[in-house]
Amino acid sequence: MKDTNIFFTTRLSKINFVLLVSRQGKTRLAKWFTTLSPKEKSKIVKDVTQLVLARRTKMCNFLEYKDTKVIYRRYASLYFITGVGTQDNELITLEIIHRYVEVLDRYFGNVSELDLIFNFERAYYMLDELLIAGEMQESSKIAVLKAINDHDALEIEEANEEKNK
Amino acid sequence: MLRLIYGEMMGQDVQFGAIYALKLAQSGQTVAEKRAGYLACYLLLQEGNELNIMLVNTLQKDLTSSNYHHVVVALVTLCNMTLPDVIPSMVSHVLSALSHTHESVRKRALIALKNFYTLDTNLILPYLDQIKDSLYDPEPSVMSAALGFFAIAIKDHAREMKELVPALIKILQQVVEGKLPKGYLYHGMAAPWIQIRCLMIMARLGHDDLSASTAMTPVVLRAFHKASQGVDAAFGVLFEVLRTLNSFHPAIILELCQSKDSTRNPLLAIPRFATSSNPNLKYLGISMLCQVNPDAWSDAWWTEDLLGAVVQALESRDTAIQKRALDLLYRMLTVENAQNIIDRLVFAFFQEEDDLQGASYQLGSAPSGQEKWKSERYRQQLQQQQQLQVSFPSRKEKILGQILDAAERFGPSEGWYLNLIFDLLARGGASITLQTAEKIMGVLER
Repeated sequence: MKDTNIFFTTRLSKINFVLLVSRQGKTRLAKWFTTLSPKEKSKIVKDVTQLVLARRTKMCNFLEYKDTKVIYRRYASLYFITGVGTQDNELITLEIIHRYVEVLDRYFGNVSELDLIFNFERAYYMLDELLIAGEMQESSKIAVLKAINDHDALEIEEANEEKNK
Repeated sequence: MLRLIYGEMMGQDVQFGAIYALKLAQSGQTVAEKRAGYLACYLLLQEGNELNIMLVNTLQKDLTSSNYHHVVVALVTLCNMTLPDVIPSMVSHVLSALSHTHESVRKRALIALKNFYTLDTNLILPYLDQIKDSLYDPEPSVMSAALGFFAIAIKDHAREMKELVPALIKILQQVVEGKLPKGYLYHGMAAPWIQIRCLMIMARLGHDDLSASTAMTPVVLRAFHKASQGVDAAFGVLFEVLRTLNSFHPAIILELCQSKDSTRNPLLAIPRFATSSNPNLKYLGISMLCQVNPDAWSDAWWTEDLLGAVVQALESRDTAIQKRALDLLYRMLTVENAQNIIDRLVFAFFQEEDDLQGASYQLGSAPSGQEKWKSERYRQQLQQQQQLQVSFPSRKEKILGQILDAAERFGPSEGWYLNLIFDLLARGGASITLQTAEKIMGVLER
């Protein structure tokens, strides 16, 4: 049957991009897991932002944009948006978003948009710990936080070494 | 360097920074600097760039470094890179990293291998056995990464991987029984992502193979049972379970669907979702219905409420749910209801265009005064949306394809078919491409 053929070309839960957008439409974080030209990227960002900001609260968190599914959730003043392929499991992607928010919250302690604006490279790094090449690589919250804390400790150590030199 | 990355993120052209990025990655004193350098590198360097060779050298040096952080950073770059020319020299280093003492190195090595596999399949095939060993790694995250590798590799090499079946069954069993460390719990659900990966691989393995399917069914049902008691991520797992069961050999689902026992018949869970008031759950319910093998529609689990829920979804104001319901209809096509369903599809096809025009007419006649400037803004928004809609021909084409296919298979008479085609051609506008015209010609000739 046609449907089963499509299944065989499935990629495993491959996230194509992660966007964090404020209520006014400003991009706070953009991570791409596919290679696209900058023009295409900005077009996608613009279109998807428009689509998501136009949604009302009663609607479900899933959209379709061209040939990708867009999954989003609003946390306070930020929209967390991800794009996945058509055959992917949307609900589990919603949970990946939530996991990311949980990790951010645990790290920054009651995270807010301002935290992400000023520490965007840490936000990127945490996303890297969670997702590599578009797939969830570490589903244990404790392990992710441990890795980040290890890394912070190392940074402080190296900074001290520099100072003492 | 950080500002450079920020600029890149915002879409500016920062190619000039590539050489600095490379230098930083190579000679950065601290790990943070190296990380920033590498990050900028793989963001900026594309195929054919002369700097790639220098990057290769840097990577090789770091991969064999004694400081595990360096190895990690190098591997992460490899995971994300899409440069096929770089790969051959890296493979041996990555393979040796597979048996590194630190688990985060092993994990990333596996993901890098997966990335290589997608870029160049034949290069990695000889090493499958080594990767299989990683499945038994004591660290769950490494095992999960190995599962990720197989999920991709399984598509073309299912036959060679049949020996994985017992290993997968064991893994899924362990996860479902909660034998993994506490950190993997997600809102009461044990390691949902690992479960889903297992299920996806099993689906492919069991596809045409009755014996494998029968072996895997009990543990899949067990996962289903656990998931029905959970929330959030559990819903994702339930969906995946259904998808897996339906990709198994058809005999399995046909037997299960007849059972009235809710622990044996996963399909009984569907009504609970489709009739829910939570829009996400409704979407889930309809999607689940789409996954079910059409032959498995039996009275044991199909209720009147379900039918009502489907109809409601069709009229829903939430376009996402509406679209899913339409997809479902397409799958439900039989000789009796074909005409009804095709009418619906045609209606939706035209609605995509008329919707916007109708709305903008309404605005044109908006009341004057304060309302006017509000409607003006709304009109601008709508215009933007219209531009967006116009650039989504794929949705309309998809519906058109479905209509044509359905009409071909279930059309009651030739006269009716011709009428339908004329109607579509007259109002189809830009969506009718040469391809569709040729297809129609082909059918008419017969």
